[in-house]
Amino acid sequence: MNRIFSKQTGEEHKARKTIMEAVYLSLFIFLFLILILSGTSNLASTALRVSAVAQGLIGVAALISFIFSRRGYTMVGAYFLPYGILLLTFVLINVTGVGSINALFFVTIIVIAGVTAGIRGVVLFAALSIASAIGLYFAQANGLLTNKSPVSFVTPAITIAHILGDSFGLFFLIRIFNKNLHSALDANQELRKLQASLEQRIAERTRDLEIAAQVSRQITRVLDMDILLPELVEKTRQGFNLYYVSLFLYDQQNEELLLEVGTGKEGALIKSEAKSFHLTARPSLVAQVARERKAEIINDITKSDIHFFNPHLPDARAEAAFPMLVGDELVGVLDLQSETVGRFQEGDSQIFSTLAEQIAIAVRNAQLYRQQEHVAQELERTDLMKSRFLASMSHELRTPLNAIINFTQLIAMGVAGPVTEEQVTMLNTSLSSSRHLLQLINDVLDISKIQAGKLNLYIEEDVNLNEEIKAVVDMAAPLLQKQNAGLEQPIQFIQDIDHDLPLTACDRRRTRQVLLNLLSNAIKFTEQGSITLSAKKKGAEFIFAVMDTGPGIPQAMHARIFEPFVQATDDIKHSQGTGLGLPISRSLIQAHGGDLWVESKMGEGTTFFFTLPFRPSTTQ
Amino acid sequence: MNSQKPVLVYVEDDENSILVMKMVVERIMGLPTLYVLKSRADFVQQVKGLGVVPDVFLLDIQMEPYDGVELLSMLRGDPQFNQSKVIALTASVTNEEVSLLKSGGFDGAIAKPLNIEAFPGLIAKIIKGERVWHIT
Repeated sequence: MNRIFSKQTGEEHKARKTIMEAVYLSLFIFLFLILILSGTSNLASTALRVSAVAQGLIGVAALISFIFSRRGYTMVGAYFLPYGILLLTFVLINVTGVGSINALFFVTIIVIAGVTAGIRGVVLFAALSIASAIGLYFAQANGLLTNKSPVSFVTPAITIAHILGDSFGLFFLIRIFNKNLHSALDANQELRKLQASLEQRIAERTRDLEIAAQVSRQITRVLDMDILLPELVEKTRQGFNLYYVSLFLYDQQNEELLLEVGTGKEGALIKSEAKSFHLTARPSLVAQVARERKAEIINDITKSDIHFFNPHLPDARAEAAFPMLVGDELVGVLDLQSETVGRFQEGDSQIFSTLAEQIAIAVRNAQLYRQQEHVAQELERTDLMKSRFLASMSHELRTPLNAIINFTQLIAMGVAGPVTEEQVTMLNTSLSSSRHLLQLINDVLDISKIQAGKLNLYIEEDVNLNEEIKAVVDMAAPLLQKQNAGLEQPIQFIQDIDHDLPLTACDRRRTRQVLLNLLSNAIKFTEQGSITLSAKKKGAEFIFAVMDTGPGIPQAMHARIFEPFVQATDDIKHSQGTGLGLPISRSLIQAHGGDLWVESKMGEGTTFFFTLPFRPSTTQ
Repeated sequence: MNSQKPVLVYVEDDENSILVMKMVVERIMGLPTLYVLKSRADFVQQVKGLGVVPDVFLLDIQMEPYDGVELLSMLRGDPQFNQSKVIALTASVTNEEVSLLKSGGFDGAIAKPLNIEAFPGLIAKIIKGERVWHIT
């Protein structure tokens, strides 16, 4: 019974369950046929009743056995059904005394047992059936069975003969069936094994690809060849379980292959011997692969005359080399050596070829990166030199000029002795020229800083723009006076300024510089009419405007006046500026996040506008 | 403190600048003398060797071997000159430099070339204790 109750293997269970289900179905059909056939004979009424009850009971037995088989106890289920039917047979025979169909019942039971429970079922139920037939025979002979119906009786002998014949037939059928079932199961098992080994191979290939992918990822991340390549060959060697991995780079100019890196101590050793050879070198697998630009595998180096034996690699047994190509261009060769004869197979070849391609791209990238880095360093150096030059210019050029200005001033003041009026005039001219030169130097330094991107603002919080405007107006006053001195009708200076401009963050000095530049320009170019300075706050910004009634600037010059060293007029009298004031001013305002522009009409005048963003104090 | 005749010390490596300052201080401002010292490690010793306590130090910024900022910290390191007025003289007035001077503890800065007309007034303001940033 242990075997019966033990859970079955999935395969067996499934097979038997299918059979059981088929049997239950055919049984119902069989009983239904009896029902139909018996309808025409005189057995009708009894057979009808028997059949109906039998169908019901078999249904119950089938259900119970089906439940068992569902739970995996197929054998229990298989035994349950014939048992149930056997019991039913006894009951029916005893109750109805219908002997004519008992043989049929017995045979049915054995068939069911055979199909569902196998050979053991056939033997067991055949024995039980024979025993019950004999039992019936004796029961009838001794009058224990009270005949309730007058139906003719088929002798137990016939029943036994039936049972025996059918049992043997079934026995052999089942044996054949079981054999087939087992061979089918065996075949299935074989298939499983095959599948498993296939899965393992897929796993291995996946792992190889993963290593290749890992190496590739590494490749794209690291741009420094000195870091990248040693890691790369080591990863490849470990990942693919190889003896030695090395990379040769191709020197196009000399047609030479140079060992760039090799794994382990051997790699360092071989590299220290400065291993490089010409493209035509023989024997050399690497050189051949480089020449032909085609991967080559030597799975047994003893049978090859291309392999170059390296005394540092005594355990090499197989070698494979793959060209590193970017497009058609040879970057180098990836060389792999293994201690195992026959290490490199078809599948490997593809992976390594792809890997070699990836490395080629990486090396090319790294080479380009190296070049770029070199250029960047060069630029940085130039930049640094430029900065130093600017700083020293600023000091070295100004120091002597400062002396000139101050001495001239002192002499003109009479500090070093009396000077004539004529001398004072000359000294003052010299002084203003010196100051102009100083301004020029300052402007050139400013524009150089702007062009070098080195102009930094010094932002102060809470700058009072009203104060700054006043300071600029004060500074411009002498210029205006001087201009007015040569005019019949003095220029009117109008201020249209909001008196409570809110405090804002800005570069005070630079803001002054811009405003002074615009004002002095206006004074310089205006000979009649007025100059209006306005400053208002509008939304989130301040708008400044310097409007004059000068000659105006032709439309074509509106953009050009903001280019360095360009002036709107060729008039020598007016060309005293540096030509840098406007470009510097615009850059300073733009650095603040504002804008500076011009509106002008020939003959009517010019207005320069600029905006400064309003930046209230952040610390309260 | 000598409020009548203030004592000025000037540290500068450019001869011409020294000459200009001497003329301005001695001839225009009419002070007896301008003390000129060298940018050296013994700067504080030099000051002490003068025999008078200076009212105002005028330090050039771009000097070798010690620049004005370093000299200032030497001065501030000595309790005797903790309260002395120290003014930076500078030719290149970049924004970075000005913020450096302000945060460095200078009491003011005066731009080069010297504005000779304004200079005496600035010194008077400094001695009164005002901070002077005459750098535009």
